[in-house]
Amino acid sequence: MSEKSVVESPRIAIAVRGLSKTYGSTKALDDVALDLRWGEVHALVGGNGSGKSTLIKILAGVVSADAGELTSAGETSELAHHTPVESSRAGLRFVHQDMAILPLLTVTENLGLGGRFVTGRFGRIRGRSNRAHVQKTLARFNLQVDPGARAATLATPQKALLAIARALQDIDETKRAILFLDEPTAALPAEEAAELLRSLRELADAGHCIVLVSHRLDEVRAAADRVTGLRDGRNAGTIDAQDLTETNLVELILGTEMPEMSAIETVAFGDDYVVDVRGAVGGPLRGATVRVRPGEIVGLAGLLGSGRTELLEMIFGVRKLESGELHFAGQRVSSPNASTMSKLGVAFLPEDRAGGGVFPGHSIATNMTAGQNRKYFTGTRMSHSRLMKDVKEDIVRYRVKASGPSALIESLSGGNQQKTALGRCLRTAPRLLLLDEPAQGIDVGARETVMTLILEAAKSGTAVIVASSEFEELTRLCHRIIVLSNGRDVDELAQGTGGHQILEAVLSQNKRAKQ
Amino acid sequence: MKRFPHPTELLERFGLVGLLVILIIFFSLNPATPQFATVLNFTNILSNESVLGILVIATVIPLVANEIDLSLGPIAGLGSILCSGLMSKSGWPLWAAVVAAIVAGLLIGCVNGLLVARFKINSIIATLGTSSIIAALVLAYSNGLSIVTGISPALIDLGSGDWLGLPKTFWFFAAVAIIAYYFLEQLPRGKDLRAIGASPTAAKLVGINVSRLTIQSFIVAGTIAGGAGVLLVAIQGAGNPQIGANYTLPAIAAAFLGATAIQPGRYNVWGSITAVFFLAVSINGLTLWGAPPWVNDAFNGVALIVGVGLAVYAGKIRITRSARSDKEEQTPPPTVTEPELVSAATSKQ
Repeated sequence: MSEKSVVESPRIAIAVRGLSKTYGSTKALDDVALDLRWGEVHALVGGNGSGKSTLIKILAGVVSADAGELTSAGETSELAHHTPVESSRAGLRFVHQDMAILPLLTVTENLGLGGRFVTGRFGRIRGRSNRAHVQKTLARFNLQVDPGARAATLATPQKALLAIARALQDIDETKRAILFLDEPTAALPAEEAAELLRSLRELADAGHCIVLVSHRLDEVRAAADRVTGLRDGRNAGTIDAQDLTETNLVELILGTEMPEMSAIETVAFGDDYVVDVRGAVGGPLRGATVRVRPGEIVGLAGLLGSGRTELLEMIFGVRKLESGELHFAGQRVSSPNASTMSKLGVAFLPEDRAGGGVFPGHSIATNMTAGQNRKYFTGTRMSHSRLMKDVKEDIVRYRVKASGPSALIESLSGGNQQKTALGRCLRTAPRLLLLDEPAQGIDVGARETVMTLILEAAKSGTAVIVASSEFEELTRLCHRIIVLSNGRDVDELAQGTGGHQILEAVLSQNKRAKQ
Repeated sequence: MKRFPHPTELLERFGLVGLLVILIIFFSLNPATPQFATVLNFTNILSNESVLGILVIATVIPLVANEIDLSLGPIAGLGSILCSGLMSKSGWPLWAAVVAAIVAGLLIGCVNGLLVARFKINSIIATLGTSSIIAALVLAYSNGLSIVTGISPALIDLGSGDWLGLPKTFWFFAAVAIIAYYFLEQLPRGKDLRAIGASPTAAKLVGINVSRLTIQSFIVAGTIAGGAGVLLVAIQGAGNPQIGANYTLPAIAAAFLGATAIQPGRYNVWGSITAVFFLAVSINGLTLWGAPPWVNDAFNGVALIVGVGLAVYAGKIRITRSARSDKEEQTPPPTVTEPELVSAATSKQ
């Protein structure tokens, strides 16, 4: 490939050409090109397994490419021999999804991690100079926090900014960086995500290049100047902001238009409630009331800290109900705990897959049947063959893409792990299904499957409560939406309420609560 | 549809068994160790390793829930000194002394379980603490002296005799192994215990009573260890206050090394037993060959580190292999696999 193929332009930050990488028999990246410009927010989109993370790992120098060139500051180098040191010298900086902010360390210590302290002789940290450097860095990134405060006390957007500040602190004002952020807003509710995106825009306006990896399409549309899509390891195209529509963005990721959603039907519900929580108090909750009927999907909307997750945990009995009443199928449950609630027919899908949704190191079969083994006990032994046969059917039913029931859960993409975890909840035909951010951090295709499965469950009579920070999701799923603010249910929105209206309701309630 | 196992998978599962067989053949043919391939030596190995074997199985049970119990050796030591002491000093009948030893193990297991599951103390720390307390109890009760008199001859007979040509103690070991296997692999409770080991949070969220089951695993382990103490008296013909802690490291080493065999990647009964005999045959053969006595400790230490190291490495390989076989079957188009799965699923209905 000739050097001339990269157009020399002062706007080009880096250009990648002909990048390929093969793992075993799978082509993770196949002749991929990427142009990044100074001063832009560039979104990188693609389904799970599209090659986004491999691309980023190669640019960071932690994975070596099979072929490909990187042009930076007029110099072209082979990506096969790219190292982390060269990556850093070229101004590339990375903030990973978990941000690597250690909660028990102070802001100063977090900034200094990874050899970034100001040090003197024998590697001693020079207290005064380091403090001055930290003050300067915090001011530069508009972070109004106490340098001595533990990171745990920071709000999530501040933690993200701290991670960004750590990545960029050695780039002085005269230089420019190319900053890669892997789903920085995945854990943030809408308002805080918007705040972080504003900060990213400021960085881009200051001349840096921001590369944003995101699954949130609305966010990509709102924030990006240009969008590059990857599909099955190949370039799916790059679209400028002015040409961006929801349709062509989804096409960029999926290659087809978004499949028709089975819209929820209007159903007349009776007066029998599956679950009826009255005045729940505990943790951030200060008297929340929610009731759900068979076949009904009730959404919980609210900002972070409004008590969405905690209310679900309380109903499932993993969080203490300090005061208030929980009624299940007309019976009062005096001291709910997870075992009794499961036996009553409640299933809970937590927000955090790695921390409670799946059983790492185990097969799909084990993951699907965990806690349900009594079903396969013949009286003398476990019927392994019956279990495997059921799981094989469930893999098809819940549309998990995997080689079979014995595949390890880690070998699946995030979306398929989530389908497995949801399948485990659904296969017991629960009377009440509690879902916390069921479609978080999974690609568009998997999201559609998850939503369809939830709708199908409700149609067969399961009562569903779903907490989500993605309001469009609630619009499409729910018969009713309860707005939570500061631990109380403050509003109820009817079926079909649009995402923007939900956001308005949430924000207005939050303002009212603060006054 | 049964897939033929991958060759590296077979190597992983039966590698340690193969090594054990090679070692036995090697020492049998080695002219420098003529005493190795004798009936006496083999029965000695079986008899000597019975107590360790039982303690290894006891170790495996809480390990399945990802909790390490370091107090099982000391519990066996307490069981032995209590069983012999009650007969010798207090004139208790054999059965009562045996029951007392087992109940002592059960109670200590209960304490361990409560410390870990209720008070959330790291299991290594909690059981290290109870180990020291048990050592103190043993010393207080025995004054540091072995108890050699007044032990029921029936018990001593159990330690030296054989049934069907195999040492009687070995049969106890075999029984404990089969029961533990049944509990861990064939009962729903055993599967729940594994789920706890994989992720306690996820286990709780699928409705498993995590803290109760964890406590139960410590109780079962402690009870088995108490019983192992009785066998110690039978084999040694005496209650020895020094012996308990000597079992801790070999038991942990075999349990970890055992997780690399038979059912690689998980703590399992048959793998652990293979590991016990692998270590025993190695040490026995090397000793007969004239190796100095420190080879024992060195071997156990190396086995522990190699076992844990291999487990980490093998876990990574398994994920890549599983991912690769997934990809292979998905590309070209996933429609090839899905109808196959559908037909597999529907034809059996």
